[in-house]
Amino acid sequence: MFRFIINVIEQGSLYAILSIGVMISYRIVGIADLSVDGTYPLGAVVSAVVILAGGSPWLALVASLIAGALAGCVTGLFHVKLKISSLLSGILVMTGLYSINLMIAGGRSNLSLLNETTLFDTTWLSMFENTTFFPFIETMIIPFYRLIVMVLMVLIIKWLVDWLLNTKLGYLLKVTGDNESLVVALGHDVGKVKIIALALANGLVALSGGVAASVGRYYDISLGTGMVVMGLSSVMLGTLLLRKTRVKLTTMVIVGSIVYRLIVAVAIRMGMDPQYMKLITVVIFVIAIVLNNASFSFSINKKGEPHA
Amino acid sequence: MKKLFTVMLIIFMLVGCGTEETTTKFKIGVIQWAEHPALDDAHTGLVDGLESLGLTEEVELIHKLANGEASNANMIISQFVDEGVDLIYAIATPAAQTAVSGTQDLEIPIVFNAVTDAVVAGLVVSNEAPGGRVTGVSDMAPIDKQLALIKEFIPSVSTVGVLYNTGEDNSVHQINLIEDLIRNHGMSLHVQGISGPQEIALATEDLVSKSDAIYIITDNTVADAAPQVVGIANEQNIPVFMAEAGQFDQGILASDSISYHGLGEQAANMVKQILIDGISPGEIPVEITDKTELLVSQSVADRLGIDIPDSILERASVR
Repeated sequence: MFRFIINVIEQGSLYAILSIGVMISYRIVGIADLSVDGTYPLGAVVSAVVILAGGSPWLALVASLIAGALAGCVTGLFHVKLKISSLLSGILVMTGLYSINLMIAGGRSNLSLLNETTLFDTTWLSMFENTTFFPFIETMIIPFYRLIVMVLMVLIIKWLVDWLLNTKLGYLLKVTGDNESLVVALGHDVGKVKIIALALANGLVALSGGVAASVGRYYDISLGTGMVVMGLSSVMLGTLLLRKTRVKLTTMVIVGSIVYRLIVAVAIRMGMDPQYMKLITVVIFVIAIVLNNASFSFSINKKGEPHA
Repeated sequence: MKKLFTVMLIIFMLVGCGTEETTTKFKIGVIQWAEHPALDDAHTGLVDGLESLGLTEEVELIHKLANGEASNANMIISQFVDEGVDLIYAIATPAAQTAVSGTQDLEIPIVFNAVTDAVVAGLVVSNEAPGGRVTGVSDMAPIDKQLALIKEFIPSVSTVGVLYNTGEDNSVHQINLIEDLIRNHGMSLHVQGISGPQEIALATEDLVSKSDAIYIITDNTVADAAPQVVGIANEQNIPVFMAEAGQFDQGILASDSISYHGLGEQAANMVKQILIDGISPGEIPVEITDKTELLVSQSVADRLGIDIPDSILERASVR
């Protein structure tokens, strides 16, 4: 039971990073970005290749972030400069990334990291071996190291995104989602803002993929399956559950991601046939959208909710 | 917020109900990556194998499908750990990799099935002496045997055409092996890579024009489209051989195939060695199967105007 909760939080944190990315593109700027199904495995493969080449797993994460941001730029350029609809741009980038991911892995569709050093390597903690607080590290930190790293990572990312959304750029992102013509009136280029948003969103998604490579200790070309819908569902679920509270959007998304994982974990545990899993995801999603729409349209009239 | 806690509480209560402890039996967690006839056979093979070893009463199987998603697989493994399984039986490469990474600091033995190259997958140090706590059965098709069959069946074949999905690791591995082996049989290889089912028609047309026989390897994409490949090839009088028997009746001329059910039974034997005899998995070599079943189709041979050599008829089951 204890392990079950830890696992749900770990998995929830992993997908919370992805969901924060999806939140930026979908919830804030208002673009349903389908390239996520490709940028998530892109992040995983970039991290895996860097780790296999002997690079530090943290360096690998940075590489994943950059690769994802570049892919997001491509989606943005397709949409803004080539005037391809945002849905189609996402699909095109996702499809293209399938080949690119294979190329990055050197033609392989599965890379094993079982014998490599990952983000959750605890050997460096042994340098405290002779200090007085080592027993504490040994019993309280090492067994939960993965959980601690994951939670810290999510909190740092949450804090950075919160900070970013309060800068001038952040306001531009929000305004782009609410009212594009206002951005033009303010003398800014809507296209540029959209490209930045997609780069940021996909950077985070790829970062999440990079973390996933360390958690699962392998990369597989199929890792991205269903990630867009999962991310969107987490965003929806979080905003639905916490819509009456005054917490930040990022907090809602993190809670949504963990609750979503919990639902999936319980479904698996109760022995539900996974054939129905995707259908249930869609049902959760639609219910969340319907309830959200109802409550937000209500609250707009009352309070002028900014994220509606 | 209050609603959230209520939901959580209900969920935890449900979880509590789902995990009633039963002792004295050995618990085996079976994680299957996806639903697929071959992978299903790998599971039923284990069940039947345990039954014929007289272990049905001794073990309790918890069978879970990951539906091809890594996150589900992680959850399943953590549930197995929670329930204190004595052994994990992992079907397909990503399932086995998740099982290993999810139980890293634990001593749970793992037996895998439907993994082609366990060394490349990082599961074992070597096939002969796996070390560690992981062993299993490899679904490596007996490629040498199958190439020999093509030459024996139709001695005039000089080029064998093979279609494969470049996105499947197992397929790339098989292509490399075929390249190494085919010269020993006095034939040459023509490969055509594809990235998805929609390319199969065009790729097969091209392949058929350049080869004397088609050989369908253990590749999920191509195997699923076997009827299409056969249709195009047989129009041009090109025979099709196949590594698996699942689609044999779609017009395959001959197949000398492995059985995932049989591999499951081999795995059941390993499970017995580990749980009952107390042998460490690291000391049980990874097994491949040499038991194959040769199937030959008389009607397809007649249609293509090929005489089945007596040497093959003697040992094959003719359909």
